[in-house]
Amino acid sequence: MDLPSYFDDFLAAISLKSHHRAALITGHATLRSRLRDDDDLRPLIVSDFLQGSYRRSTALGPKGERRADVDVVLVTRLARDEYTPQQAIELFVPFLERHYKDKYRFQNRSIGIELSYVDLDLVITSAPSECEEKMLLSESVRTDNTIEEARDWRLVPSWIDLEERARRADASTLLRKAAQEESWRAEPLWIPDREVATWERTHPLAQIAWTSEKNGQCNGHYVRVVRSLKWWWREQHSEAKYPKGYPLEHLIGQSCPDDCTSVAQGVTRTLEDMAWRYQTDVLLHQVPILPDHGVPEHDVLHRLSADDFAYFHGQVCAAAQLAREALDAKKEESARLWRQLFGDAFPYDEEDEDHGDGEGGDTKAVLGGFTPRTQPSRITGGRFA
Amino acid sequence: MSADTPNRPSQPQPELSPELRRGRRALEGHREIALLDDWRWFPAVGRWALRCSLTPLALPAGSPLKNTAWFILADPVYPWGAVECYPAKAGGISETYPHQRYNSPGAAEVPWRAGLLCLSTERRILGREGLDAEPSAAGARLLWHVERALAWLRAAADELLLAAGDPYEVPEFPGGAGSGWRIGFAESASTFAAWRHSTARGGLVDLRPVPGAHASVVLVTSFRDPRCQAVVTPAWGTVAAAALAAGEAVNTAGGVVRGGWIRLDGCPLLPPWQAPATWGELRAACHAHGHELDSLLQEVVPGLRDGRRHVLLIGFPIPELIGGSACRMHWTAAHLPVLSHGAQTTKGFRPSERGYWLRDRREVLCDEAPIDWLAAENWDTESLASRGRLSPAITGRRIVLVGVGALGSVVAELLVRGGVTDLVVVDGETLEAGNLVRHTLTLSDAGRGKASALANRLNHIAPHAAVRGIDAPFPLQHEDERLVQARDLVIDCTGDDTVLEHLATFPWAGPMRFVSLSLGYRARRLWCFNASGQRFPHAAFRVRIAPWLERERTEYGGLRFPREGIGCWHPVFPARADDVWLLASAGVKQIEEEVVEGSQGSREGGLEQCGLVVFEQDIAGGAFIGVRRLAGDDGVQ
Repeated sequence: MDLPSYFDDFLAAISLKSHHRAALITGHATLRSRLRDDDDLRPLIVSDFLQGSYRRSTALGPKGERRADVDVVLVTRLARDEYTPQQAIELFVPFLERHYKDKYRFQNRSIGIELSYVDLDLVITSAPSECEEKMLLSESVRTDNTIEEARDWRLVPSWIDLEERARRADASTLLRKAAQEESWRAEPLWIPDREVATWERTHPLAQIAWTSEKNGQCNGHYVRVVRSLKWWWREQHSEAKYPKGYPLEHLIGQSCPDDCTSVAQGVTRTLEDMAWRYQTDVLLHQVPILPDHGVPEHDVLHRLSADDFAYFHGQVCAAAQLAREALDAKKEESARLWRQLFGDAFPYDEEDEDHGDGEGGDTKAVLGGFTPRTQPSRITGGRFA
Repeated sequence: MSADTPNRPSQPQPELSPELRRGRRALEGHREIALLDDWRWFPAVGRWALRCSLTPLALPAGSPLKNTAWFILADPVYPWGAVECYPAKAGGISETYPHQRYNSPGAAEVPWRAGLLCLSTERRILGREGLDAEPSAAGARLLWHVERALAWLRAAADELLLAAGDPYEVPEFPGGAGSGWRIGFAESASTFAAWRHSTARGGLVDLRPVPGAHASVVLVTSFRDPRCQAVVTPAWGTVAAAALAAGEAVNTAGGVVRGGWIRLDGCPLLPPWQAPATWGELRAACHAHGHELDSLLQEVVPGLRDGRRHVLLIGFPIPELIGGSACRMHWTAAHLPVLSHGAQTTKGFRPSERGYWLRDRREVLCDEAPIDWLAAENWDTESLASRGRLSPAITGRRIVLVGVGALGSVVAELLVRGGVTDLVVVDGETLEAGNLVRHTLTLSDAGRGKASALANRLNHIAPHAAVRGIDAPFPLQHEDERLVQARDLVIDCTGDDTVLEHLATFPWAGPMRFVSLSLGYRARRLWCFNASGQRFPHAAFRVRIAPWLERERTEYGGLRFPREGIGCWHPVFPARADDVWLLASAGVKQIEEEVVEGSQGSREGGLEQCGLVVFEQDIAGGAFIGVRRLAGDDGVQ
């Protein structure tokens, strides 16, 4: 069975909680406003926006006591031919020393900032072409709203976010316009790769746009399917390291059907599609090539070894079978099987067996509408004052 | 779930608890229930609401109740708190059925109508329910309510909500409970017989406000026909008479003294079970019973044209059980708008009754005008006492209670609340503040005679009681003496030997039943002495009480009695309210038992019978165990 309310409760349990969200919002808002207010950096900055699984609503709640994390993109005016990646990054050292002393470290492609309540990942890009600046400063790009919060998001000039809508009288006009406008054709951005000492292309906006559109086609279930399957892989197969993060999300995206009517259906059909689609690659002991959105020269799965992929595929096949059984079963059995697939975060209520399919309707009508006593009544109440 | 992009909430809403999720999951997969939305928080009412549609399988496809939308409301502390089912504004039922609150469109801030379903267990609705107790587990309780809503729908579709043999329930007239009015009428079997014999269909009625009430609390007295002949006069106790005195003074201010009444042959309602909300609906409902509302009103309204708003009582006979024959008259009340008067007449008409009526019909009481319903209830002795009464053997007695100190005040109140209406209380003392620790009177009575203050209080407790207070010590003089002579039960609560002597020598009119109650030190014991005969057997009492008094002296002799505050020499009898009230209750039970046994003829007449019963608090190791009853004749051991 689909069990939509069970999946609602499962997703509530595995997703970011409200206190995580609050921490993330405080973290990234503070970072972004400090960057913009910094006298040294202000002339260098074009724009800043959110990327990553938080923005795309595909992030799981952090494991145990770990902190949630959010990714921030800072678009600068630094020309690629004037600054090497190392030089570009070093321009930020004074700022980091001032505000995040002893809390930051340089990673291969980003700056990681570890606060007490949240982790920030700051990615710096080089100068975009001038015609892109307008788009990069638009609300559509810079908004704090995630895809799940603002289901009507599009990369268009007239789009305004939820807070702005409450303030503006012409909100409905603008939104109607935003629904009709043609999307911007955004170009990839260049980010520093310290390992290879060059600027590499990346296209977070293309990923966000693709996810948003896919989610719309799936009636809002796509991002929930992604979170469910990420959870399955993280919790039930924690021994495996890869695939994880965006590559896993991308794999799911390629297989998730457009017309799913529930998370249960989406999960089952995605697993079945992945099982079928990559059979040949596994047989040939190779990893399929999946071009990234917006930067087709990047293979999303390039880090994966053939062994990793084969193991992953094997687990997917078993999971697909279990999911199909769960989808086809009746309520109590279905709940039990989904729980087997997803673990204890998926709700299962033992007492539900009494009220399984609600077939008692007819007998009750005969007795004038009151439940016949089949077991000793539980006498509750009875105290007065 | 909803496809709309939600607006970010302006204030943080509470987290959806695991219990609410559990409750909702139990509804999943049920063939007759479809969950339309998840729990949504409504700050306007401080509750979570779940929108669902109910589709009882047993109903045929064309039935209007086949597929209806509902909101199930739960408290944040679910599974505790209320669980309620309301019809949705969109896709829900819009009429009112039996076992449902008046189904108005409801408040603007919420998407459900006001027609709450009455689905409770046996505590609220008597009759057909078995012992099907409402479960309290999170997974079961919500489902229980929704399944009962389904049962309700099935019963509604088959017109079984009102099954023969169920108690009859009048439909809810909208707005009444919140009107700030309480109109009490007193209709009983005997007044019903009087109504049956009368042909009057309308007229004027007196409404007496109860003095001191903060809202408009009025008693319905004296129905008259248009020629001012009395039709039916309900019986009330002293409070109505006191209200009479006060009412004359209120006459000029509140304008509530006179009202109108009309009588129908049945409850005016629109099918299936909806009270009329406008004058047009009332006209239609009356028409269904073969009445023309306007002809009835025209008899009444000429007497109400004084520029003030008046109350209109609308009466109809009701049965006790559905399907039974009518046995009581029931009244509902409407607060009429100001009727045409003075120069307010219809254009083209002189200021005459015809002109006034036409204006009333066209404007004041036009079809669209909403009716201002007021809360009206039957306050006859039987209805008011439905929660508990003493035996008729005692409530029908003419009682005199001598001594209304702490013990007497409680005994008197228990008797009156238990249904005694004819009571005389006698006490020569004034109420002092120090008495309040265990007396039933209040600070505002300090300085007043205990007897008259208590009588006033008791008359306000029971509108059918006629309690008289005599602020003089026993024995009494003149007409008070005659009043007391004619009683048939005397209760002494003075604890005073002199009074007992007076009771022994008092010239009673005939054989009397006597009770003497008194408390021991700290109200650990209550002595209940019963006797019947021509005079009070004082000597026999002394003989029986002596060993107990000796015992008390032995147990408490060395103890000091408290003083009434520093600077005061007089000792006071120590006893706390909880001790006094505990033993007073035991005493009342004993009195009832004696009176019931006596009236059953288990005592021989003529001879002076008497006996002592002792109640004692059982305290072991400092802990209160209970109250023990001892037969006093056993003496000390």
